[in-house]
Amino acid sequence: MFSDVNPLLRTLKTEAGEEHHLRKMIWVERIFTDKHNYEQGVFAVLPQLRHSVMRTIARAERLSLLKMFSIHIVDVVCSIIAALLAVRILELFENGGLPGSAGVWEIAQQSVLIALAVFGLNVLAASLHAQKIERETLVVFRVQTTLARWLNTFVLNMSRQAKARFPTGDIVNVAQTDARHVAEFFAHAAVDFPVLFVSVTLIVAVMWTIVGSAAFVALGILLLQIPVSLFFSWLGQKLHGELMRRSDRRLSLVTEWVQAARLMRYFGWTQHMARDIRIAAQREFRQDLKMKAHYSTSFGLSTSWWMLVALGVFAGFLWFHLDKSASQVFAAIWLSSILGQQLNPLPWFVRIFSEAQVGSRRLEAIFIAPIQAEEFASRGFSVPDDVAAQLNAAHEIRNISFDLRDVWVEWPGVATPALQGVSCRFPAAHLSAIVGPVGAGKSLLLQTLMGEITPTRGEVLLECDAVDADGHSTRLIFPIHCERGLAALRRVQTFVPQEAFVAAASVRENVPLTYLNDGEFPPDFDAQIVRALERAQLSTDVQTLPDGLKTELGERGVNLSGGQKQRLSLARAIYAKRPLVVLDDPLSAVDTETEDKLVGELFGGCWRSSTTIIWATHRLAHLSLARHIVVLDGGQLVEQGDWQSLSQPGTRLSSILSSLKQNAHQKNSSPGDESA
Amino acid sequence: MTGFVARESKATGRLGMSFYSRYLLSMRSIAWMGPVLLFLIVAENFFANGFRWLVSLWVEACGNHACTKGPWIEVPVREFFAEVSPQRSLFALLWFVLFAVVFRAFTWTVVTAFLARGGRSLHDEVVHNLSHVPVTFYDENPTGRIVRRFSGDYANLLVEIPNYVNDIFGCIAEIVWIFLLVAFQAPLACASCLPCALVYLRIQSDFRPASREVQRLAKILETPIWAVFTESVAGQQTIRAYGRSDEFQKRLQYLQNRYAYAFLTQNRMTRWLNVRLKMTSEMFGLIVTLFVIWSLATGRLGAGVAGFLMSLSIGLDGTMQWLTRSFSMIDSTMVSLERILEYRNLPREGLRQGGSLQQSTHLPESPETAQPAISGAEIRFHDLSARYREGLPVVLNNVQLTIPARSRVGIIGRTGAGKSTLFQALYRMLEVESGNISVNGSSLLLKELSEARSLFSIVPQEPHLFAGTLRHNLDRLGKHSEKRLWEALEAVRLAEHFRAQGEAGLDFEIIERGGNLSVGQRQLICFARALLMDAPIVLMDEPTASVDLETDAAIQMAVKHLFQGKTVIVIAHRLETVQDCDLVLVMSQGRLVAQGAPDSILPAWMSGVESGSMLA
Repeated sequence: MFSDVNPLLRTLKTEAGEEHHLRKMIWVERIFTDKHNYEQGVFAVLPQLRHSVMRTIARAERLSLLKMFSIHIVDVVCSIIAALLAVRILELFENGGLPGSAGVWEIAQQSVLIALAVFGLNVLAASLHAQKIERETLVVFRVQTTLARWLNTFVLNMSRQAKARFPTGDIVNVAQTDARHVAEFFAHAAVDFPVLFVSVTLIVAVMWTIVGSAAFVALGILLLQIPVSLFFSWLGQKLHGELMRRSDRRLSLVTEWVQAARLMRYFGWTQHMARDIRIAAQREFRQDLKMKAHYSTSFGLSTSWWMLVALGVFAGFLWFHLDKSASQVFAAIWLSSILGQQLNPLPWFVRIFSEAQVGSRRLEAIFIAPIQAEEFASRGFSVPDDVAAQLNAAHEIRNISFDLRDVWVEWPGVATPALQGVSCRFPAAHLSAIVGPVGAGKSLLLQTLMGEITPTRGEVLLECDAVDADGHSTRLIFPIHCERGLAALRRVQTFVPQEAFVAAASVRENVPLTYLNDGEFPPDFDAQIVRALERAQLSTDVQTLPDGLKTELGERGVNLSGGQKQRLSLARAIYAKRPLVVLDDPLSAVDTETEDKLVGELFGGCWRSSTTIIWATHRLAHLSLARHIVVLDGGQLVEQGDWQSLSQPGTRLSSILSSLKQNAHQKNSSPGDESA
Repeated sequence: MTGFVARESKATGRLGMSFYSRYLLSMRSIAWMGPVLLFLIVAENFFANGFRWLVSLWVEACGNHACTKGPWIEVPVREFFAEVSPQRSLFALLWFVLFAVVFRAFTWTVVTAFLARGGRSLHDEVVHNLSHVPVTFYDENPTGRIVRRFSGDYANLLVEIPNYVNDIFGCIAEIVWIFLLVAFQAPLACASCLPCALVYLRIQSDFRPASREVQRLAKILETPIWAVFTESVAGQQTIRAYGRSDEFQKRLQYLQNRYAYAFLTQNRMTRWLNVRLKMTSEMFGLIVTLFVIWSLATGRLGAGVAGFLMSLSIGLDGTMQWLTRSFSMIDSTMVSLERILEYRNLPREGLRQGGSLQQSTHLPESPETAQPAISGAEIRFHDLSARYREGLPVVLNNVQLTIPARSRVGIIGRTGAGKSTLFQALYRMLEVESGNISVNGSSLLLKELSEARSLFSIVPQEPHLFAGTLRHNLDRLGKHSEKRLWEALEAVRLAEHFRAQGEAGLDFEIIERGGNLSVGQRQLICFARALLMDAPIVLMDEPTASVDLETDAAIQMAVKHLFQGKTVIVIAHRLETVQDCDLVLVMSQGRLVAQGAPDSILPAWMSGVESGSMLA
């Protein structure tokens, strides 16, 4: 009877709703602990998902679907029996009960019992129906959240190249809309459709026993409803499409009008455009009127169809020369109503099914993309077990250096390889710089170093000192383009991208990239975060934020400027205190003064002599700090060495430096850098 | 400018009855349409039960009873069925059903169309208000917030709310009909009507507040799920570089679980409601049935009418459920109406700022007669102080200056010094605190707004173009001939390019924000636009801010040679632009700190830039 909501209903009558009120609904927790078939995680079911998402879900939900089907059938059967019993009352009186005769009161007694039975059956049917709907809700929730989670995990493991084919908005849309369509199909249509067939057959059979052949006339008229409602639904979709077009037109006019409000006033065009908007609104309104007329007709027809069915039965009486009695007539009416209820949602089922098909295909299109592990498999690198064991047992990993051996990166269908035979070493615990003109392949080299791109030829080896609990240090060397290697790399690296990543969370969650969820940060957490922000030249900015460290960032919170975002990225890297830092041109949006300070703090300060820094850059002001410089051009390594040798005249580096200096001069005479 | 954006006003959850009645009463012609629509709704809801009633009479006809027995209304109907052949009876019933369908479709269309029309006129009213609102309104309210009034909120007003109102009145009418019919046929059974209604109201009043609150929570808890999902997709590289994939997956699960509480509880509450409503209507049906049994046993009623009465409770619970659902839905969608109504009373710009100002600066009002086109005009700032709006600090501070007619004036200064703000003042987009602006001796602030603005044409900082044809972007109001348009394009050296585009010429389609043209080309089109306006005063705001070297040269040339004979004011970063001016102004923090010939001003400025004491 769902009475466990009573306390909540009482509370919320007078108080505003808050989360802790909801937490008292203990039955929800049962959902989380319920065993179902989704525990294995996306990679276990990936082959099935790639084949057909619908079938995967169907297999996982088959037990629930079966239960829902049974409950629904029992519910329909109860309603039929209740209708029949009600008819029986009328029959009893018709056949035996003349008022005033002896047997009338006995019949009356029987009828009362029957009436009570009807009441009980209907209430039972209602309760069953409600239980079934609740299960439907659970299915929708489970399927949609699971698909979203699977998609999320999958995307986080997707090959970088494959992911580039999908705009972020599309992936989010698939998770929101297409997953929901698939879920709704299984919740509603998948069960109700077979139930529809079974119940129509049952009811018509029952009708036949009561009204004889007239039942077939009823069936005929009932079936006629199918093409009629399909026609109306097709018409409705067309009208709706046109409505959406007109509505979009009006909205794009309004958006432009609002965005260019100032400009409009400068030129005195405001009224003119306002008139265009009014015209567009009028056109949309007229289309909407058509839709209202369509909807009213279609809905009016479908809710009145049971009357036509009943009339069909009556016509059947005439045609087959049957006697009509009140009980038969009302049986016809009752059963027609139930039939009508069953068939009404038919167009909706059809629509849900087609939407689910489309959604399933879009999901499969994403799942088919390769994941990183599959990319690695094509090259066959591996970390031997003993090395892996030592890595796992290590207390600390230090002095990371890279060894790139003849690394080639080729894109399929592109003639020139993006990286050609790059061989170099990045020394441990020192600053290395990667320079070169735009498009030389600097970012690509970094991506390869981080395991995001797998080289078509050649290998990338990582060397490090693994220090165990006793302080013994072992030098290990292993390739990174394999699962274990990548996992080890990710434990020791930090990355500052060109376009900063800001999570929609507070500052104190963004810096360590950790979500609080329901927990608490340990007491000295904030102190470390503050120190990292100071070093990144961001602490004054954070102090001016409305809630300081607790300020929410991102779309629903405060929007940081480009320079502030980059400094946040740096703070993240500083906070993580790891032995490897990879920087992809992180100072592009920062002005020269701040840049000097940052370079001093980082390269000269907290990262000096303990951290391996690999820095791809355009800003050449501080190259002299680098121990090793690598010059790329057109995907090839044209020069490498230290500052002394490369800054001599005649080297590639010096020619790049001198041409950039000229441009910088010109730029400084008409300044215009970042403004907060 | 973070403090500038005003907070979105939060509508509270509960809207009183007075709000709903105001909504209904505000429709045009509600006075006479209202009763008509009510009548239609009441009539329309008769049909389903009317059919059953007619059938009950058809079944009995004059079977067990004399034709004249029973209520007076029924007598002619019974007689009709008794006299007429079975086929004709059936046809009569068929006509009844068809009429029912048509009437129902008609009523629903008329009611929803009427209410939607009210929404539509509100839309037009808001458009009208927004076209006269001060520009600072658009600075305070993000585009998304304003546009939402026109998208989701308007859709609610046009489609959803009329449907819900229709449903509510319809359901109430249906329930009333059922009770009426029972009262008519079986007065004693009607004793159960009142308790049934009371129980229903009680159930409903328990349900609605809680449902509203939980729905609100569900909405709040759902959004972060997609925010985190979007982030992990967008920030895939950073997240996995730091080895934080697990973290983000856990977060997603955590947020989904939080949402589960709201979503699933909401559903459970609806189940609670539906089961209890069903019980109430079944109880009602039971009582009616018991009465019917008694009537049948005592011979009060015939089997036909008995069957009819018993069938009344079919669908009663469905109607009750629908009614409650409609009430909940209308609660949450009425917020849209509130939001749109907020835009009904907006401030109006362009109020003539006269009175005390006029007295303090002794300027004549502008003569009412139309002035001949002035080529070049003298502008004077009389100790002007102004701010963007109430509560914000002053952005122009006692600006006193004279710009001679037909001169070229350059303005330089640091970012945020107040250069563009001068232009805003000329366009009357600031609130004047004290002082005045005059053009050729007559006060600008006292003129009618559109007249005042027509004195200026501007080349703004960002070359914004609209989706549409080239013609549309140059001359939206269609005031100029094609010949004039081509002349303007010639003057900015763009005619070649567009002639070469093929036949399209002036009908060349520009996509949203001018994406199919380079930044330089867009800037030149803006020049052409300003040229066409042929206003006596030309303003240019950093015309070469974001262009490549080639276009830069074209623009510099345009700046030097176009607009001969007009007063030209240029805000510039490029010192070459300003070198050829007659007068150079230096702004700093809203004040005019220096003015004079380029030779005297620029050297000092340059040295200031290099020493770092004056950074632009």
